[in-house]
Amino acid sequence: MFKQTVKGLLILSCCVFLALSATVAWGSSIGKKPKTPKYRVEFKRHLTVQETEAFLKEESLQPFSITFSGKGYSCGGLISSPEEIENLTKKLEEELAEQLNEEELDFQYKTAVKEYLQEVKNDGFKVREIECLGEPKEELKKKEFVLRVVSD
Amino acid sequence: MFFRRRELLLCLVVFGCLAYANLVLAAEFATSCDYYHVHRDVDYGRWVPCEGSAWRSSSDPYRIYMKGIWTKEDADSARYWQNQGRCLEMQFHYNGNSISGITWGSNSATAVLDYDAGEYNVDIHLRYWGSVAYNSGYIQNWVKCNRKDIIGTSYVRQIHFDDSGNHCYGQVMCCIGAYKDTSGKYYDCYGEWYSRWKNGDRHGPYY
Repeated sequence: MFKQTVKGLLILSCCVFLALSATVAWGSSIGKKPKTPKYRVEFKRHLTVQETEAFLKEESLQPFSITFSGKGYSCGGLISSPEEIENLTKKLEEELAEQLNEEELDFQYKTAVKEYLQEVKNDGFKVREIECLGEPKEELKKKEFVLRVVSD
Repeated sequence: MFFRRRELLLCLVVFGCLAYANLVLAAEFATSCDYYHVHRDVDYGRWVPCEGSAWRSSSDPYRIYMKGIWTKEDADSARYWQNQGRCLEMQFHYNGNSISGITWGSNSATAVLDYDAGEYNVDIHLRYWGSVAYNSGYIQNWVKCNRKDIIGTSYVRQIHFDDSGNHCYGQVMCCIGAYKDTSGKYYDCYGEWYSRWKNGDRHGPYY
């Protein structure tokens, strides 16, 4: 009778211990969702759209997003191929221009948008960085215009 | 007798200790990044744009804006945080997982988009580096996508990284603004947040 009680207690202890471990393991995995690996390629200097397209094609990279920046303003969007950059710039230009007509935006903000639009019209969109899907290749870091490659 | 009482007690104590150690270690693991935590007496809620608003464009229902007051001190502090391995972010939330056609803009010269698809609530992060919006006095971002049901809670958040650069935990510094959706339903920022007026201190690995 006593042996059975002890065995029962032992089994119960083991179950409690395993349950605790499982709970803790589950608890510590909360919030850690599996994500598609991505990495950012930051440039030492701003690249032109054409340079960026050529770079993406040459290295066979799969772009995910692109960031343009200029004096006091930055913008960007999602892309899935180098060919989409050109269309994106047109879309961004339209969207920026639309904002100039928005009543709720103040003068200071509109001035920044206006100046950036002018810059874009004069010199084109300048690429600050791109985000790509997958794992980064080591050779990317060796490119003279690549500042750093950061994995997500 | 299968076990003597003393052995049984020993056995239970050992199991108890193991279970306790397991819990303590797990808790330690989960909060091991807390040495990066911003404590209330250092820069708790002081140098982040705690005042601001979020709203939908009156001319384009697919576009939302977020504005946060940004001072030189904010910029200095953001640079400090960045040096400490923390990123300052503003977020836009969407109620769904099938958004596309995202475009965005910011009056910061160095904001970048960080977007992860496949989550029920999709975040779009705008990170700021270095001389962030140094002279602008505020940061104003817009995000546009193919959906109108943007819930648009927006706030400043710090993302903390451990020494290896791995994501550690995020921490809401303050709420920038909540938002009404197209049906007029009001959404507040979820959870708690820091503000320069509230005396709170939020810890924890994830939320």
